[in-house]
Amino acid sequence: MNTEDMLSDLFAHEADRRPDSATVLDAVHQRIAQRGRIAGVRAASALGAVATVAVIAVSASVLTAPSGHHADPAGGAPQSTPATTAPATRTTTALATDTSTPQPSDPSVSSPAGGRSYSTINAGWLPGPAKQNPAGTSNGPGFEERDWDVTVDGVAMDVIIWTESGSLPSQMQATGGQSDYLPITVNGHPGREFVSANVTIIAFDLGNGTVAYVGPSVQQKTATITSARIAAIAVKVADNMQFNQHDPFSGR
Amino acid sequence: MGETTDSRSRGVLSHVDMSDFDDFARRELDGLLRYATVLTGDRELARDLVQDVLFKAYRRWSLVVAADHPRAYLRTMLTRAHLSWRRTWAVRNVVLPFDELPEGPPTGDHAGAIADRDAALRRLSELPRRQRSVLVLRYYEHLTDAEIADVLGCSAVTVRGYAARALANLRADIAPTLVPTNQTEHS
Repeated sequence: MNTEDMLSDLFAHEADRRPDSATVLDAVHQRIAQRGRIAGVRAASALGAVATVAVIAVSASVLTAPSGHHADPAGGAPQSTPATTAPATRTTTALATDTSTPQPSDPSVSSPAGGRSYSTINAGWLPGPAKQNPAGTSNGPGFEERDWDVTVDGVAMDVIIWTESGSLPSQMQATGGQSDYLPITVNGHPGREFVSANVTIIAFDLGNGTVAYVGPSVQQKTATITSARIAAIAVKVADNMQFNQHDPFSGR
Repeated sequence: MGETTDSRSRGVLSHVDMSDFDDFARRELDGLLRYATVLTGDRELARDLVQDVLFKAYRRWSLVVAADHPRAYLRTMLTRAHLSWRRTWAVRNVVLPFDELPEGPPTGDHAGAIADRDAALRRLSELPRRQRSVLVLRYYEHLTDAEIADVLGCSAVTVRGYAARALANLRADIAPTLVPTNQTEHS
């Protein structure tokens, strides 16, 4: 028996010993359901803290979202002007803090016991009417994420941003696992742009052991939603990412 | 580190979204479990690995469906998760092959073949993870060395090196039953 035949036979034998599919899928469903419950608890805690801020704050600017794109239930066009606290220029740090917004260290901000009451990242610009996915909000040690469904020229686009501890990646699985990327700079931070047909992911190093990511994607391209357009949207969102900001109020 | 895994979470907004994920999971699950079992040589580890990867796939759902080859994308996630797995499964009890046969140790005409196979399985289980992964990707998934290199994030030359060492390790113990194959580039 040659090596290939023996190994093929062995592996086929091993594969037949696989565990039952149904139990595995049940376990996955349970994890998804559990995550949804945790996200719901966090959302409720965040809204509770925000409501407290609204009662205490006297400045109208506190209630103004940093930029006018989020959670627009009416589906209207977002404001295209960049955030007043973080102008969309590469020379201005995206880490600027909005002093009119209560900061985590502000004693007037109440935090739920054992949890944070603010988000760390907030897209400053989105290319169309957007609805945030509350279950796609994640805040945790070394990892934070936000997720929006955005309509661009009638096409449904998913825009995800996240921060993660680590260094710049050399490959991105979502763009095919290839190691070819375009070196870029985002607001003075070194970054890399990974492009595939329907997805662009930009990663840039914040310099504090954290890498920020932007990943717009579509299921199908159109005449106007091209790979180049997706990449341009990724650059624009990356330029406008903000950090250490409160999430906007629900419904804004 | 030179590489970080991309991460994403996607909440379930509608029945359609979950339905899409479920359809995909039901379609792919058996193949993923088979692959993971061959990759790890351990049913329980395979179960854990596939659960983790499917959960991540759910969280990254829009990226999965946007990928050129979603199935290959998941296979890559599985392989890389396995290679970075920190759990020391060596503490698990190793199930002796004979224990799996309800009729007890084999006898008769097939005893020798089964014994050879079990010896080969033991040797496979003792291979370093990367070496075993290369053999699985080559002889179970039938990938080329270039494709294996993409999955593992290394060069095709490195892949051939892993394969050569793995095959040498296997032959060292069960040489009488093996005939070396042509080890030129696998494409």
